[in-house]
Amino acid sequence: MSASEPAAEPVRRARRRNLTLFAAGAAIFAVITVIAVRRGGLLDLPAAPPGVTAESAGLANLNELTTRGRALEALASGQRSDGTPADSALVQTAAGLAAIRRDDSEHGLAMMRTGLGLAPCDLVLGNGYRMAVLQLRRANLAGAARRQTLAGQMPAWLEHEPIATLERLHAEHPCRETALQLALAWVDELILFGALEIKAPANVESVHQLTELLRQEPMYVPALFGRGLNYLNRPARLLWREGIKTAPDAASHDLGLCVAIGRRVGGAPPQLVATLALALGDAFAKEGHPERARSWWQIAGNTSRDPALTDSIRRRFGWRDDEVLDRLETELASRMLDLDHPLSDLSFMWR
Amino acid sequence: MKIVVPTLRDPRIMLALALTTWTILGQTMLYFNRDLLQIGVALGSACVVDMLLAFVFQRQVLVPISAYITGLSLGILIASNDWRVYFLASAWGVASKYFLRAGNRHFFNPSNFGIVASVVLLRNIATVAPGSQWGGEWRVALLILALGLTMMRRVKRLHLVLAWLGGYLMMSMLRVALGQGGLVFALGPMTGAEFALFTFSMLPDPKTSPPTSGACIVWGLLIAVLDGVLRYFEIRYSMFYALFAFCALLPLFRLAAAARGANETDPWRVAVRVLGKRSEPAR
Repeated sequence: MSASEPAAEPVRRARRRNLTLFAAGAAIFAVITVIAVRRGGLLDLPAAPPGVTAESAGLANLNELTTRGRALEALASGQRSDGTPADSALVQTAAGLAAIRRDDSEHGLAMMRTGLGLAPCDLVLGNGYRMAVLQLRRANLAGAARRQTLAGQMPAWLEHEPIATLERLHAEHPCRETALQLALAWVDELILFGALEIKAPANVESVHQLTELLRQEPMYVPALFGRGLNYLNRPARLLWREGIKTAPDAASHDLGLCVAIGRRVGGAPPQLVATLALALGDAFAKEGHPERARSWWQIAGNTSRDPALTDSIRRRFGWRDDEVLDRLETELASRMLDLDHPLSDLSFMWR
Repeated sequence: MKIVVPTLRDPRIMLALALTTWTILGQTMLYFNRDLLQIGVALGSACVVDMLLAFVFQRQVLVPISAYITGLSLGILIASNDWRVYFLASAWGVASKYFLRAGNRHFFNPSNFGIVASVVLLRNIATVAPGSQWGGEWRVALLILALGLTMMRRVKRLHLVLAWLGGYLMMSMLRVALGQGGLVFALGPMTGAEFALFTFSMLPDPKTSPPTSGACIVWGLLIAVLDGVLRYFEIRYSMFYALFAFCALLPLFRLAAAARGANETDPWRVAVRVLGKRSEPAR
């Protein structure tokens, strides 16, 4: 008994020391965790205001938008829509779209304008009109390039579209949807004309209009997303005048707020969430946080298994830290050339 | 001339089985999105190079179980559109066992060496696959964690892995507390295949980790701290770099352990048959 006691003492002492070390480690861990949770939270997103609703966020009727988007496409392709009652605005716009596809563009565009006039605040129809004009203007520019001429690129009926129509529509029916379409029409300009002399002012004008809209509708996600994309697509190495300079984290703030609001109101389809997460990752990459960018790209990849999205994420994961900015600019520039789903196409919300 | 075959008690058998199961599950339901040809190239080249080098340098005909683990890990983890990257990564990883040695032991984990060599030397064409390989599914990650810890207990590296995991958690919280993102970004990597393979395959490799329990704990914590610092400065592949850096210092850890009288035993359990003589007993 007496012989074993001195031998047991060092063991007890070592055990006590280990226990003390463990307790100290656990206490430090607990303190750091509390600070971490308070400071960063789960996703380190801007705080969504407590009163935000799906309606104020513009995310209330995504299913309806999906149905309407499909109905427009079905009617324009000469198919019957899936039993959804088609109002005259939809029928007229679809007929216009069909006419444009038959190369009766001027007449078709006029029919679309009539249809849009019947439902000026319809997001699907407004987007359809903008996209139709974008395709026509692009085709005209491509034709002029083929003919190697710069003169008379646009016919008169297309020269001032869609901005002229949308300005008139917004003056007559001021709603957030018309304001959004008008602001995005400037992004269409940015897509069509690659020269900085056009890109930069179009970007500034679009941001200005979206900021005005967000002053009245601060939680309107499509406007936040549009402004975030505008910031994201600003050439990173261009020097901006003091008056139009923005905070370095402007893009990630707007896109992050979209995600935060989306999480608060819920119900967004995976494809939409993935698109937002991918854009937010791009914003972080542009702001010089490649690791955080990769985390968001990964979240995008986990959210949707869309092959095109998976491919674009795999491309991004291949970028080295020192080349992220240049590769991202190239990626964003090539995104501008996407004919099937242009950057300003809102249909990603309901596709 | 010796023929070296792992016995069923060899811890590598269990790891190889686990890796094979993970790869099959990954290819069929967990979104690994790996090209089978690329996995095949990594696996085949690792095994062939290992057998060749063992024959040339050690006059052994071996069943390349280590190379199998290395090849499969590299096949899963490396992402590249060029199949030659998989060959090179495997060859470099396996060759490091034969050419980079202190005394009579190698000190770099072959998979880790293959990855670091690839991402450093083949910068434009090799990268580590995105961590979403388990599909970002936390339940799968939890299952793998449970299975991995059980396995670590069997190979007597539980303390090392727990020290690494604890250190990683602590550093993650510290990074968030210092303003680097949210908890999801700090802890999210733990749900990926990259993290699981690192934690349960590379890090606890008995041949390339310190011989004593205390040193293992310090080793795991130090790697976690270096990884956390590298992550704070947004350096990619931080885990692999951290392990690589400490493996380079492993001979010093071994010297320190030897000075304290710690005996380093060979963890592998193999049956050796010397051609023309009777068999040596299995260890």
